Amino acid sequence: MSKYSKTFDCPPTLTDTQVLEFCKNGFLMLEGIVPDEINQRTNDYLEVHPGMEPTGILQEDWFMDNVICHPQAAGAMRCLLGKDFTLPILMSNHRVRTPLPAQSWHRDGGSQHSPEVKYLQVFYYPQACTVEMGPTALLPGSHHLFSLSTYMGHYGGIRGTYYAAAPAGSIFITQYSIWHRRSASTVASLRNLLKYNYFRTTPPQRDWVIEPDFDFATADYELHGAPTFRQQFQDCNDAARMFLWMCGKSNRFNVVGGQSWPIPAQRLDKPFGVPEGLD
Amino acid sequence: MSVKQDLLYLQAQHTGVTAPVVGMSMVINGEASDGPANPAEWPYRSVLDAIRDGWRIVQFPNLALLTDESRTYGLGCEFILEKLRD
Repeated sequence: MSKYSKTFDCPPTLTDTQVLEFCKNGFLMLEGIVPDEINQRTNDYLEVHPGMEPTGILQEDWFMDNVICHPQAAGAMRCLLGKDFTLPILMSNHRVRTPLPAQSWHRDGGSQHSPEVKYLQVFYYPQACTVEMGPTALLPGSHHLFSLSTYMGHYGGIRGTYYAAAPAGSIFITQYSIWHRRSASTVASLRNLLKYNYFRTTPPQRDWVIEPDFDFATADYELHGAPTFRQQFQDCNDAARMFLWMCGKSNRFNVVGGQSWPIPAQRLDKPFGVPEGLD
Repeated sequence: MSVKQDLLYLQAQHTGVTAPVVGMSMVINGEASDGPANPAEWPYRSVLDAIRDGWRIVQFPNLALLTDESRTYGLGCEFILEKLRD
């Protein structure tokens, strides 16, 4: 199907483990995947079109081929949204002159708190963004953590925050409802950050890169490296629920409780309570 | 001479004052701050640390926001503390 129709398909690139990692963290960073020539051309375009919505860039073949339909980025989209996902028809640019204080933490307008993955928000840095330039800060696992943006305004430093400092040509894919903000910047710069959405058009199924030895019973559903801010092991339950939804198996999801699936442990046998029909 | 209020928001892992702090922000002398970017450099590791430094709790965690085991609201157990300055 042509990249200029509204939907697109391409080979999937993510494995079971990578899809599960997305379910746990709520984002995926693809560092430096866009060629330097395209990054420079994008920056040149944004100099001529410095507005907040340079949507015309989506009519440029060089941009569509090398950014929107980049094999790694689109391949990840193919895994997370299924075949025939829609291509963006709106482009936003978070173009700011730094230094600036940090934004307030927020979920973007339009967020729906759900384990379902029906649309994704994607960010592209056409230039390197260092920690000093105020990269996007993301709170891992917060796509499972409900709050209204209007009740996040007083939050400041949060343990476990991931700073998306990355080289030019980096693309990061986020579950739309993840908590994020522009972090504080301390140096003078002009930072471009393009933002756009893809949407699912097909029911979820496990049609990404299957790992032959992937075991739903013993897979690691735990969020590592950040506090979960919730009851112990709720992160495992939420990640498992989201992963099964993406596999098209949401009707199989069930948590017995106690020390059963999907909480982590070194057991003598497979955990009790693994739902049937997962393969 | 007017008295000015400093504020300290601390989000903690549970409702006890000894709980480790997982989030913070503050207003000191009329300036809002997130605190250091590195949590290891935050001024207080627990609410009790802040109390020992003279902060007074003006709001304990709102238990109405800790709804059930599968759903909590926001960062959870939040203490709001104040100091007054002349």
